[in-house]
Amino acid sequence: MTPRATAPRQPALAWMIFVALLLVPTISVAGASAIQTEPTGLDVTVLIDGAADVPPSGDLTLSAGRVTLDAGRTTIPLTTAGTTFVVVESGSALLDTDQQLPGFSRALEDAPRFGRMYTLPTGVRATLEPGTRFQVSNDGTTPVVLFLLSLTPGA
Amino acid sequence: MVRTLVTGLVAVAIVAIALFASTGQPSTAQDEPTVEATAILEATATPTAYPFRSLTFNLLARADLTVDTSGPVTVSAATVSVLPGAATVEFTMEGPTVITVQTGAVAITADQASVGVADIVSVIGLEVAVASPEAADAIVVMPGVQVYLPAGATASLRNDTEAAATVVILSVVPSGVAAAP
Repeated sequence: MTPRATAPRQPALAWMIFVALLLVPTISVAGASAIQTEPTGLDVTVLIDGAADVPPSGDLTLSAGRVTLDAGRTTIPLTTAGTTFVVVESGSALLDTDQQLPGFSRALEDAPRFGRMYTLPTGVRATLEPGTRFQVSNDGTTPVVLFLLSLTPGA
Repeated sequence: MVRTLVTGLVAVAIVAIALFASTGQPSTAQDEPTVEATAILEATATPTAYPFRSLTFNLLARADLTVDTSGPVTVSAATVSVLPGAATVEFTMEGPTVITVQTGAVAITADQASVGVADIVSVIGLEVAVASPEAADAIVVMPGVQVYLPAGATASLRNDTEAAATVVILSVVPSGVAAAP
């Protein structure tokens, strides 16, 4: 039985204010076209809100993408180049890694490759530090959709 | 005619028998097996031999940023669904921000913006030229295009189409920076 993982998902104050701004109806300004904003016309979903370190130069490369993993499949073993955030958008994924993930209650210790296995249900985020080895499996019957965001030191 | 044909077939058969007799086995067979079978580790799911066969990867955004801080940063990502006719008020970027469209199309107005593409070629070392940030007036952004907004820029989004749009907003903000009112 794979243990269920828990992870904090608390949007920062900046995002809450941003969402509040989105929901405020636009005021018509003379000389400009009036923008009609419906309070129900916008729906914001915070996927990631986490901390990462910055190199002394301040140069970073931000990458974001979405991965769909078919049922019964496992990715090849991967190593993170920078801080990487993994969010499960749909389905339930198994994360096999060599790191203890902060914010998770516990892990299954007999993971097949890297030693620690976490179950990531829909909506849960995992933060992987640079140099973390991991692979993701889908042992379900429906595809798993992952949202990935990495922040790597620039050249 | 028939005699000639029979004579030809007999000749071909003799040559074939001679070849097999000289080698003892068909010429396409190999003498020794070159690969030994290896044990497969038990796993809950089948390892993917070809990583992209059962895996679909869609690069949403990729941008080189410079953050003016020596401390940690807060990385944020959010999806915003914008119904037809809906719009945001003008908002200010607290740090470098990238806006990309998943579905539909939105118009972005900003005082500073660089429009580029989220292309896989950048991953393999080829960089797409991106212009310096400049004012943008209701530029229409569709999937595959990303808009970079530097810290301090102000922008607004609106959906002038008849279909709903979904955008992804990515931002990197130095930790401790107060949110703009």
